[in-house]
Amino acid sequence: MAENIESIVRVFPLYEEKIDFLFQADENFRDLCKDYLLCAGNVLEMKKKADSYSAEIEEYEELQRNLEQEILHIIIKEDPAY
Amino acid sequence: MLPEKDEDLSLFHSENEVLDQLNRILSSDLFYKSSVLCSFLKFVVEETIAGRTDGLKEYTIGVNALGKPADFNPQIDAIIRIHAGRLRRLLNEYYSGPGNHDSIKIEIVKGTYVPLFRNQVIIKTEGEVTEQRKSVEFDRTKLTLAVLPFRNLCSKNEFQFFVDGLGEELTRNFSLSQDISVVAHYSTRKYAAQPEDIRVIGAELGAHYMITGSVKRSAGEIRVNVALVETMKGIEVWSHTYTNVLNIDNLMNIQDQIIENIYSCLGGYYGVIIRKSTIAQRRGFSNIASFDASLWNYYYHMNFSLESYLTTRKALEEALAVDPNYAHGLAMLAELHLDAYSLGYPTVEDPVNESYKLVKKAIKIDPECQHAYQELGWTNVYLKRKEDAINALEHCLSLNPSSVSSIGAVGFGMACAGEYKRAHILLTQSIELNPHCPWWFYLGFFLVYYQNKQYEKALEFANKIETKDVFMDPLAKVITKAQLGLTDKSQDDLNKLAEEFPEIMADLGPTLNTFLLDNSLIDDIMAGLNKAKVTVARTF
Repeated sequence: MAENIESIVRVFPLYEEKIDFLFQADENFRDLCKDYLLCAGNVLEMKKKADSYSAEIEEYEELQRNLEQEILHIIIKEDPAY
Repeated sequence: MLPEKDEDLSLFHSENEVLDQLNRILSSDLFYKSSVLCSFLKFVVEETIAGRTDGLKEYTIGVNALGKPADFNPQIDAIIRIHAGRLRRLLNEYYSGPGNHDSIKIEIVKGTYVPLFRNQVIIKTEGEVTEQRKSVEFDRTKLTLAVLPFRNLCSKNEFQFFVDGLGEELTRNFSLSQDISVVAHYSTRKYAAQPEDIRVIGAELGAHYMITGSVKRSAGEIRVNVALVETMKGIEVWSHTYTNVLNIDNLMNIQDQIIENIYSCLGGYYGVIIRKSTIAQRRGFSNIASFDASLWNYYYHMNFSLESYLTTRKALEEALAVDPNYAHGLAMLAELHLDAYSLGYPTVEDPVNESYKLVKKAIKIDPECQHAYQELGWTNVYLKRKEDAINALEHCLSLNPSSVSSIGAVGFGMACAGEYKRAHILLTQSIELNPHCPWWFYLGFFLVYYQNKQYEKALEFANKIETKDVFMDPLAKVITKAQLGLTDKSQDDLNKLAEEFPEIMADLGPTLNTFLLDNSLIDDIMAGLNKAKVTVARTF
């Protein structure tokens, strides 16, 4: 779990404390982060293997952007003085 | 007609109703911008309507709904699982916002791609009266109980006063409880003459649980059967038969004893009702927003851990953001701040004074709030005001003397305040009335026996403390075994103290001093550690 938190914090370095809190308190947030990391890992893997830019990579990249927005949305809607 | 997928609800929706609801969702702004999630949802709903739920697997969804090639392999490509998570969250967002007033709720719960079609509570707008259509979901801000009139199975309806009195007195007792709301007995009386399915009565009264019962007599005995029924499923979750020698002159005493016993078993935050609710809620709802803050608090108290603490705190803070005058919630949050302070969990900057402010506010809002007085007592322990602590704890008890959980909690507070005799009486009383107590009641007993140098009894209770993330658990075992000359049998607990609680052990004296008012007890604890050859700082 600690590795997952660190990876997400690297993407959103300004929100370390909130990410830490949400990670421990909100199962949905944990699932979302796991999906994001899985997706980001797949993008890297596919890029390594592929000779050229494919539709599949593009699809995964769009998904990664969507998940990133979802994470940010949850972090920001949290009460800053939690 | 489509069968409701949740068999518990046993309700039905027509195909057209479900398809209308699907179209409503798909044409909403939230879904309109995501063609992938629209295709996903449309496919799983339509397949379910067609009865082809067996085929709702990642492969079929990928190929038939999301345009994946025939060689798509979900074992190595997790895209369907990831989209499913997005779909669940988007549906939640839809029903929290634009779909708030839709009559049918389409859900895809974790672990399956087969959607559920549920009824939703309808709240009419524009000045119309608020009503519930087929109210199978209740306002869960507080657990609600109804006591149905007991059935009189005695010949010629004799002892009717006794039978009626059981329902009325039980209702009165539960009405003193802060943990559970109780429907007025007058509102339940009509069901005595009109028997109805318990699920229907539950829905009509908005009650999560119902107490039912009957009274019959033989030549020399009077027998009272009592049951607790969970109304959503209509299943009996607890029952008991009380048999007493029939003595006409003593019927009131018999009634009082039965009521006290029922309340002890079912009421309070470790009674059957809350225990069953916390288990059911945790099983069914992963989203903390849909889990009552107070139920999280009860769960936390039965299972102390950093994770349950953080979840409870978040749930309480969210509940208080919605209702800043939620007195019971203020008291629960005050308690959390104090616990975190003693247990080394992350907390607010000045937890003791923050708690004091919260309980003062809670008492101002609700002078009858028992939990607030319990926490006022606790705060005074932390502030080293022994007399004020004892007064507040005793006042707490006086507000509802039947509350077994409060009796035990006050007993524990008395032990920490150094009032060992009173602590022992209250803890014993509480545990005799309901043995399903939280682990810290055992810690209360441990403190009483340890300070009295009854180390074998202390070890008996130390061994009953089974919890994680709490340093007092291994500490109690280590020091008591050391006092009994059994240090060689405490290696695991010594390791646990060193590995899991190094910061607390480095600062043990001051930490104990936060919640134990009796310095001689702290000295005894340090002496136990010395015997176990553990060196810690005493100064505070």
